[in-house]
Amino acid sequence: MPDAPLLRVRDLRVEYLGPRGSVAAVDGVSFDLARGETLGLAGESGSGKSTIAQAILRLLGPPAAITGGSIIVDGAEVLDMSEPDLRALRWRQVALVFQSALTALNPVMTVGDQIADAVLSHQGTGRRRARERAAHLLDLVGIGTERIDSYPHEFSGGMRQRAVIAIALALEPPLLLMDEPTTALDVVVQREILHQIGELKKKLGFSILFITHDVSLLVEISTRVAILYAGKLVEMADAKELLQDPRHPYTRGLLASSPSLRGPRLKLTGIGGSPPDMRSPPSGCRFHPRCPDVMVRCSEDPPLLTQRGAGRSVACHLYST
Amino acid sequence: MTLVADSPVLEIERLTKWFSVGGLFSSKRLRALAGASLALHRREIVALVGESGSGKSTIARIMARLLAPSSGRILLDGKDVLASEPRRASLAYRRRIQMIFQDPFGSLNSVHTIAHHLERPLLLHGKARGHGELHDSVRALLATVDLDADVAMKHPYELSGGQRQRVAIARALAVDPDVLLADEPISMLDVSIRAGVLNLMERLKEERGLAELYITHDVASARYLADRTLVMYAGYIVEGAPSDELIASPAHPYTRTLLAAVPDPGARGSPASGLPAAKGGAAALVNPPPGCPFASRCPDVMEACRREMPGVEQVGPNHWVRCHLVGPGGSPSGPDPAQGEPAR
Repeated sequence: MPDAPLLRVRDLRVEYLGPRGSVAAVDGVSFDLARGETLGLAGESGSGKSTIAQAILRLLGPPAAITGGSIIVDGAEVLDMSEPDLRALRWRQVALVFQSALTALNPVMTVGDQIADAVLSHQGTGRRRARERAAHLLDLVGIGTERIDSYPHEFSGGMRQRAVIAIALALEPPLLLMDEPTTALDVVVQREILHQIGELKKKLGFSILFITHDVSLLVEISTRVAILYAGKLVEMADAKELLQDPRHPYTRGLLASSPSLRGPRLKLTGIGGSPPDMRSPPSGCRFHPRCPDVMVRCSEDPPLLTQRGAGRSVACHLYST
Repeated sequence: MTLVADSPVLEIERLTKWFSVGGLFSSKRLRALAGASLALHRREIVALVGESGSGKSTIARIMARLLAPSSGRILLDGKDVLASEPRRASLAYRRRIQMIFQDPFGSLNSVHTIAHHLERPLLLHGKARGHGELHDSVRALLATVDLDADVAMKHPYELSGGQRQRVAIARALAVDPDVLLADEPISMLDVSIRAGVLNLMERLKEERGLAELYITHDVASARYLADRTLVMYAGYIVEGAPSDELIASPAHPYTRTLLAAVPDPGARGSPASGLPAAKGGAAALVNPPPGCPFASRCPDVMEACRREMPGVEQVGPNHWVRCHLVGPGGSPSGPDPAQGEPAR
């Protein structure tokens, strides 16, 4: 099936089990990621965006548990996988790039050895081949092979993030999950890294699930964008359409929260109130206490994510007929 | 624009700051500030923009007198406070200059109520006496920052990040300061509540005539909030202009690089287009070489750049830059009349 999506997530539910009941951090999330696509996942802290990335790789440990739904990577159900299956899935098919490159790297091992390790532990090649591969990967991400015997502390923040990307690419997985990969970096370095990711994507043809709180960044680099609020998807659309015509009041508010660099200096409104306490999420639509267009039914009846036009889904009663 | 230039409330002149780094036996010195000057006027917001390590927080901490400079002057109402109160800032200085920090989680004490946080400065600085007066002052402060009165009885952990940052601002306002130094006040907050804090800072400028220093790495928010924007690179303030002018016609190559790197989906076409020619790593702050610190990354570098840091060159009304491309500027060792000194 060449047209089947590389990643298919259906009704995913992740709960954090606490002493005073459970918190649904991800609540019925569904989306597809096509081959070669960059899907952006945007949301604020507590929206569940990082939890989704970890669920896809089954990296969640107690108190978090996947309590429902389905995650299919390249036709195989991740939730049914055994430990050996999962080992093959991680790195070989799906790799994760975290925000904090400093903690992702081992401080007492050279960067070259760390990349070679990733190659060795998953492929039956010799040490020499693995080192050659490490050198090639360092070159690929723009670090330069001469730094192969450097330690992470000798690298700048941007170079460390490049090294982490090199490790993620070690086995050329078709899917990269990037969780705020540039958030800790300065904007100039961020731009360089994003450019590099774009070049690598052209060369290697992988797909990206890009997770960030920065919608303007996301709209720029993604083909499609999904907006997450309090564990639920509220809107999904083509990136440019989302920017030009946001439908969900939360998406509109989010786009009206960041000042733009050029053009008229508009008064920002932001969104009133605060993100919800997930221990007791609001009834009905979870955004209703902060919504400027709230109606009576919004507090009672949770809206479903519904197709509204080509490639656009919105979960909002404003658009139900 | 008024013709009479009012004098600045708080001013720094040629501040330098060196830190000792490294181990016991290797004493290396890191240059955090290399002669920075700026002035804050009443009812004006100045943004200080730069990457991490550029020295912008060091400037704020020196202005708040949490840190002593290696050399340079701090002038409050034109008086050299390092000469008059060299060791520790006086209570009066600390009343007039208040600071808020990036982390609204770390700056409040979790065992005390919000009311306690606001009462302490009121009592310490003699702004309120007696139970009734204290209670009224706390309510008024919370109202000023758009928080409900019942927040007073809550503890910090019961509040969201945005509410906590508002409490931190209320605490700073308790002593009726003239200057508010805000070090990345919104960078740890969720996107949807950032605008509220920026709008609050703007309102405090308008209503109370506060002079504010807004420190950020986000040029777009600097343009949104600040009347003037100063750009820092490796311990130097390299350019200063009215915020809109800086965005419209940046003169320093670093400013141009910075502006080109900002995600701006509305203005840009395809991903990663318009990539600036920024190359090389961060500037060396330990044993810095002579010359302009941006020389190693600058697309337009010339021979002079590696020899000497240029002085301040005026490129327009209220717009100045330190770059050899524009000119040698005033002598770097002489007075810097243009540094952050607008004709108002």
